[in-house]
Amino acid sequence: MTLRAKLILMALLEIILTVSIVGAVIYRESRKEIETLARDLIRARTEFAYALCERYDEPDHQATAELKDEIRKVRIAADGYIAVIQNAPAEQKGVLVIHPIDEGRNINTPEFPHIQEIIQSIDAAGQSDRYAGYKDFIQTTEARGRQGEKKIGYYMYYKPWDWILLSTAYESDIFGRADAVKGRTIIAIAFIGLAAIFLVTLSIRKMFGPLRQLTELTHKVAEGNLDASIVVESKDEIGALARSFNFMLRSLKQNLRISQEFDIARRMQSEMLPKTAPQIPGLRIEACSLPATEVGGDFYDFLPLDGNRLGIVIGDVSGKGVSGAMVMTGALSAIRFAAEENQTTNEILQRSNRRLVNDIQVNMFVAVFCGILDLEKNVLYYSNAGQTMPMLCRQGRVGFLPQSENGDRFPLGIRPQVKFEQMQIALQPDDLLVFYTDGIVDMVNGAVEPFGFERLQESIKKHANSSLHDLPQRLIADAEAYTGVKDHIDDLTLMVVKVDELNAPLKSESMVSDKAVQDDETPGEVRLSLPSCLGYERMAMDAAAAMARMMGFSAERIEDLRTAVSETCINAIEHGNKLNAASRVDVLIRSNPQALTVQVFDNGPGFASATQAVPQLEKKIRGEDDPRGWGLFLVEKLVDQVEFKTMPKLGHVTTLMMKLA
Amino acid sequence: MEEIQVTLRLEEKLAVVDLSGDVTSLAEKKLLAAYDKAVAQKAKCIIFNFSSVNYINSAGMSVMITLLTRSQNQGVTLRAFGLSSHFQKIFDMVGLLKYIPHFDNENEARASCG
Repeated sequence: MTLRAKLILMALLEIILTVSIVGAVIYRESRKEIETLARDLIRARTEFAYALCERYDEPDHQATAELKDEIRKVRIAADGYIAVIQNAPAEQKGVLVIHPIDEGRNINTPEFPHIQEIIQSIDAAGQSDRYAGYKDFIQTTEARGRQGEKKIGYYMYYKPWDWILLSTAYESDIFGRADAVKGRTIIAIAFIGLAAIFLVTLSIRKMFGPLRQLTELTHKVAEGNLDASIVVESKDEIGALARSFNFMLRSLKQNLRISQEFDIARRMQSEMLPKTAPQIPGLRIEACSLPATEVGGDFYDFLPLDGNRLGIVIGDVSGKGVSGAMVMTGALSAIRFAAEENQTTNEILQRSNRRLVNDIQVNMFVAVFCGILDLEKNVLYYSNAGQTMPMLCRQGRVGFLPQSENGDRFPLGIRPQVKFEQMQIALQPDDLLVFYTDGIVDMVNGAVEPFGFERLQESIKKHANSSLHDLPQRLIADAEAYTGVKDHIDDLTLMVVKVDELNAPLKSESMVSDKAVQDDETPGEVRLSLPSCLGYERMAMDAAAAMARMMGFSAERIEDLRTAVSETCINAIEHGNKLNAASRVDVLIRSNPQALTVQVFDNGPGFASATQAVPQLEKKIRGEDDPRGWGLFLVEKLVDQVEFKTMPKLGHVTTLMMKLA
Repeated sequence: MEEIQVTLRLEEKLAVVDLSGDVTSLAEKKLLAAYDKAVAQKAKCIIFNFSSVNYINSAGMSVMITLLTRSQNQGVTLRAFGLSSHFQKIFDMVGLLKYIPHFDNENEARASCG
């Protein structure tokens, strides 16, 4: 039952109940009143008869025929009359002296018990004059077809003639009037009830109009129409609810827009950050960046420079959110642009600063550390614009890189004229460099004491010889264990570089320049961005095969590569991006004189081959296992090397490598 | 993606399924339908002709495993010919060749059905 029907029903019940009670009370009271009036009337008629008797008694003490006629003429209600009964002498006792039809009949018989009772009562009172009383009784004889009806009577004794004067009337005649009142009351109740039903239904319908509109509106909103709204005229609580709903929809739209903007900013940011660390012989590099909000202000980058040089940049923007991300992308662009034309870290930062001073808001700035790893000279060159100073772990000891004494230390974007100094430090085998933003050292515990540089140094020392792959996560885990919280209030960005051997030739695919693509002797690069729909893996497969043909791989190996790339892409489409057509699978195909690598990026949480059991054909044939699940198994068998890597909040990358024989 | 074409040639107790196109998850319905039809016609040996197949992915091989499960339950023998050397290698890696022997041509495959 709807709320509206319930309300109408309740209102109706209340109305009917109230009107019925009021009607019943009115009817009862009026019936009582009429009964009193009727009894008074019957009594008055009897007393009238007594007075007549007295009047006619005066002259000659005779009950004349005239008196009798006077008494006979008296009528009470419809069939009421006055009877006169003789009470003495004994032989006359009970004889009707005056009666409409039975004069002369003796009614002091058991047939008329009420008469016998009256006579007994008068006799018991000594037959005293004016002795009177009411007598209600049932009509015992057939009288005008009203036998069995209830009558009201009043008697009075007239002593001089020993007459009993008895006025009687039918109760139904008297209450006929009261019943007329009852009928009118019922009609009035019905009329009031109907009017109330009409008014209640009308007002509830009006009251519920906005609620119906609200229901329709919620359906529209559920279908994605946030432009819908409700027209509100009512000023009651439901009207207030409708107005709140309109307000909520406006807020929702605004929040959705903000969320979309955040999403765009996050995508922009993740697009700007390197998806993987470069693979450089002699060096191992790992990096990770965890934004505190959906969109952080930290960034890092690897800059492919000429010769055996790799630029590394780590920084953070003073703001966060969308504006922080915008400044971050601007800063990264400025630094990349500056790195193309400048040879030293101080020049790169100075050039970037000149551009950022003009581009970003007055109250924003960018703290950046810029380094160049020169693997011919085995030197790290660096300049620092307001960023935390990186740490070097060498032979079990951890310390800051030497600070510039003469150069400026301002972050970028504050002062137009700054002069940074390029510092340098010679690299040694087993050196571990840790670059980080202030997020990790500024993490505080319950007593608001920061994790700080010393604890970070201890943590680096502790983990220096453990796997480099998860070193950034281990350092963050130490800071989290110290603070006791996993929700960090600032962005956390860490980059670690381990020097394995020196003077190794630097021929990484990450060092590819655009110029190299045009040169058959040097590496090339192809990028594809696929929708997450099955079938598109064929494009990646064909592109990789084309690259492999250009590189001179054998037909058989090209076929192996085709299957491996296809299966990797199917995994990314199906498992990584869950077939969500809006998510892209990015494929990066790179060639160098030694090998071809294919990197497949998706947005999923990733998977490691170690966690996948080798599929058992027999179990699958017997129906004990899913017949699917061959992809990774084949990929690992078909190419020379497979790597899986998950980057927090950025997604997952699978790297396939096939070496030229 | 090229949709697979499946043609069924039925003979007494033997059926040849000619495949043309890609064997992927999309091929499952047609392949199972052809298999069921052949078995319904009392075929005891079913030969798959892969000569016109250019692409088989892991989902396509899962379809072959599903067929294999059915055939083993129903006592039906499966044979194949026409696979490229690459896909022969893939079938071998998975272990399928043990259960669906591959022959150089249709005649040899037919002969093996006995």
